Amino acid sequence: MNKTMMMFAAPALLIASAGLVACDNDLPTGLLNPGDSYSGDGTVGGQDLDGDDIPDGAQDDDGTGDYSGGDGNTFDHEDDLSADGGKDPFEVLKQRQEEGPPEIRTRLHSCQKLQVSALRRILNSFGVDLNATGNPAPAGQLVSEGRDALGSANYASRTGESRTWSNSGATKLQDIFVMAAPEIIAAMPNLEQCQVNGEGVEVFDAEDKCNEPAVSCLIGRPATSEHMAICNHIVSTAADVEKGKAIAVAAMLGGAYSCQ
Amino acid sequence: MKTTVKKMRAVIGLGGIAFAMATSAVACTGDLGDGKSDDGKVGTEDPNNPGNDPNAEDPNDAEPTILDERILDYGEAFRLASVKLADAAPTLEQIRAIQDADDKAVAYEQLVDELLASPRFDRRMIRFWRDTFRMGGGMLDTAPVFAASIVAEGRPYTELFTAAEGNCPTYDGDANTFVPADCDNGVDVHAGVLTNPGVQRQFYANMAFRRVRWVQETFACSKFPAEYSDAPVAKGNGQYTSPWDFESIGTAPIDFQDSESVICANCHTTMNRLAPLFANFDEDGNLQSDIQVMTPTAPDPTVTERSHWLQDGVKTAWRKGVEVETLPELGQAMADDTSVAACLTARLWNFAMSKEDIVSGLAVVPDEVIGVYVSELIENGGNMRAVLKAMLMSEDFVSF
Repeated sequence: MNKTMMMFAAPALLIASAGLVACDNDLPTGLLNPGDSYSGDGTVGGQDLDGDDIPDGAQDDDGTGDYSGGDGNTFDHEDDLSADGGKDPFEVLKQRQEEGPPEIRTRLHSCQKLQVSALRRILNSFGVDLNATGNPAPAGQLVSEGRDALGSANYASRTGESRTWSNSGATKLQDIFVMAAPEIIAAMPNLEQCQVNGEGVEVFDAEDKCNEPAVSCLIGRPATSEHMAICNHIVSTAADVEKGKAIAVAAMLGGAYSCQ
Repeated sequence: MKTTVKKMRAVIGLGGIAFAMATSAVACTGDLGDGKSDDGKVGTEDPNNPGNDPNAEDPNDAEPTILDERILDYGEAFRLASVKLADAAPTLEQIRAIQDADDKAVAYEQLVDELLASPRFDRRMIRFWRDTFRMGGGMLDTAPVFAASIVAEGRPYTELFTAAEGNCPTYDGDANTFVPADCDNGVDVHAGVLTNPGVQRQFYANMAFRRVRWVQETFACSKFPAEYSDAPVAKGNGQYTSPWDFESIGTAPIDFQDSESVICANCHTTMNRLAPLFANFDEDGNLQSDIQVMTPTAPDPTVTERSHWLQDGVKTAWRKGVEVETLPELGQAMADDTSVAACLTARLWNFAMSKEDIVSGLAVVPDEVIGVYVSELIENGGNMRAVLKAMLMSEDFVSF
């Protein structure tokens, strides 16, 4: 194992193997009863005070003891800088191991969640009105109201935007694309995003076949024959052509932008 | 490819959308479809290095890995780069520019350069640093904006720790420019983000340990313990692994030398040498003349005293052998530490390759993968933007 890898890996693995009880910064969970005196705004060290392991709080005669490791009072250090304590390190380690050796897996693209800002900008560039509201909720409303599900940052709790999808976030993304599809189909001919030499394109031709330039524009790369086959198949097998078109567009977007 | 497809299926499958599952692999791996790539398979022999050295390993002896199955795809690479750097899908004109180019690599590089020069990249970098620093909005934005300006303007990364002025800029979204400004939190000599009021405010906690932990995890890319002795010794119920004198840290009111269950000193011999440097910043991030953090004594916390961290006469330090008495000195020590350069390089790599956080997500990057970029960062004067571009041009980024 090389030097830099050791530098990063050794501490991480040591921490993990030690059960992440190595010493850190904050008050032991439950060291104070709710309402006890402390300096802050209801939390100490970012943790709620309603812990269930509340020692007497008295010091030993020599002034030591209650704040260090012991059978009943080991410091409960946060695993993570965020207020929610972060992920289970053993689960994270297991995921990394499943991905293969680091010298291989780190050279392969992973699937990062589409950032909310990118989602908004992409939808906007495809002609989706992000300020629209209605019943059922249009795509713009789904984005605005779904920020938590989509993994937005919460800096108040020292948490950046999520890099991975949650179940609800992935589902929400697909919902958004499905609701956005009719708007995109209608807007496509006039989209600057999808023009070449000033000429726009239609998503579907007169025979309800998918147009390659439009599909390429939707997915952000040259569409292959397989992309076109899938798109056409979805339209042709749908019970309703218009719904089939919407599902086809949503499917193309879902495939292209589930990862960044 | 299998790994990527597997992950994609897992992700899309979470949503239960069958059609997306079917198409996700197509779009995200870039090697399905008609089976053709932009330029064919990667890993072909370099014609300029025919390998006449009889002692050299025969590359044909190496066991093939999944890396050998990847295919160059500049179209897919640019789609990724566009979303990553500019939060935008490529335009149809950009897609065609690569598709129709005689030399796709040249066309791709030209478009990447345009992305890196775009104001959208400035904004994306602000968000990147917000997420990296775990802070943003209002006065909590100045540190991320400062870091973003360093990347966008190609300035040395060492300014993150050493810049004495202009450390609290804002970003003018109308003019798409960084607006320089000094921090005004009572600090005589600033040290990049280390003296930033937003940082001090966001990570205020008992004994300044959260501020210390932020510095360690953000810029050294690992949790504590940060230092290891060549000769660990048995202590209590464990091993004492720190290179520092075990008895150098405080014992009251918190016994950092306790070893009944875990060896607190493994971390705190380092942490306690850093914390005093951050202790005079108050909850709002303003520097005061005396210590502003509390020691969690019960029933009431008390204002921390230096003896709570360290024994009399023990000096503050970044690492063993690197004593620092002020935050500017700490900043210089960090600027001189190649492990900090390696950390920042790994963060850029993980950004490019869509990895999780190097600390909380254990997305560790081996030296053999990023060593060349660490060297480049050091040799190019600390230009993170140039290193990021090199990563975007790498075989790994354009292969799927």
